[in-house]
Amino acid sequence: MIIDKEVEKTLDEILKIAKVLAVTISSYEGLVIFEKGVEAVDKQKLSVEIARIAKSVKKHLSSQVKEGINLYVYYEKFELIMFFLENSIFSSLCEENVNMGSLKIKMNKVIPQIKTSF
Amino acid sequence: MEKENGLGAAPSSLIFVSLASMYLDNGMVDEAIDLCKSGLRIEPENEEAHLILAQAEIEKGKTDDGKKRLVELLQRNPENTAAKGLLDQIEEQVKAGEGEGEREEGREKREEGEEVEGEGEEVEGKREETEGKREETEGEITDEEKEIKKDEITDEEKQLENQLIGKIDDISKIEGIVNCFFRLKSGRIIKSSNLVGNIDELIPMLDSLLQAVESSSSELEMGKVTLILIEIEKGIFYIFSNELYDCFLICKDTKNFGLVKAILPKILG
Repeated sequence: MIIDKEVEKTLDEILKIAKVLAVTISSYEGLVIFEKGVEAVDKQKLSVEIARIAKSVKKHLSSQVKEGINLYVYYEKFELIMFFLENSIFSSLCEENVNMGSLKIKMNKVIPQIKTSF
Repeated sequence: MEKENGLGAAPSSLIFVSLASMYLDNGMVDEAIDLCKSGLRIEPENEEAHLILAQAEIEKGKTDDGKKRLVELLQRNPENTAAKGLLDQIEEQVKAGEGEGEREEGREKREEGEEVEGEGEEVEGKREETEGKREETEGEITDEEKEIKKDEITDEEKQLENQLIGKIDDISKIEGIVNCFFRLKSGRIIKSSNLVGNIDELIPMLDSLLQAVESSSSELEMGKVTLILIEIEKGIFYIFSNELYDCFLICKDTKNFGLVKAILPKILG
């Protein structure tokens, strides 16, 4: 797996936030590019579903809109935050009542690094 | 499979245009200008966005900017009747102002402020006319379906509808809410006349998202979906879903996220 050490370090920082279970970088084809964290849900399946969700939105937008779409989904058991980037989807899977504000800040911080890595 | 709502998929460019139109309809002129400019960076040739931006500029008092934009729009597409109509109205206003000025120059100065206001009203009228025509066209497409749905309304739905209209009034008091509407599981849309804006073009995207998310909850065994928030093109959409209805909120930013998350479940009961 090719991922910048600095990116990995920052992703580790995200995983230190209480209730963050996993971070995933996946492709729009539903493939896992990078993942780290506990196996709360099947990561392969998660990437497939994330890509499906991304597609459900992007098909209604101009192809020129390549990024700047952020999605927060609150399920009964988990919370999922997704940032749609140009070539990948950056997401975090969390337990209920995670500090979403803190998570959003940390995820935003690492996005420029992810964008240069892929 | 997507739920049928009789509206079909919105063309890709319509999300930001619909949002900008909604902002303008609700008096959020600065937000409409900001969104149109942002959208036009992505789709510089989008005529509807140029038209809404011109209307917003005129409402903002920047009549020359709006007029210039309309002239440029017509140079690119002389067949754009909405732009032509709006430009004609502005020019008539200007001519009327000039004639008045020749006769009573002093009075013109006093009335300048009113004239700008008047232009805004004219533009507002034109926009409502355009909006009306669009809604009329959409109405033609879905009249039959609407008629069928109308016949299918049960007493329970009617009662629920009345309750939901009351909830919309409560929800609309939350700061930052641009629009709010409900969709019953039968597909019937419940909206309040107090909140204006054409929501039809946004529904296919929100619906598609809701279905994908609900599917993911089932596939991944994550439990029921309680809330979705999506930030897109400077618009914020919230979706709450329960067994009776889907509730959609449109906001201008995420500043009210905490408030919405805390208050809405209480309002929805």
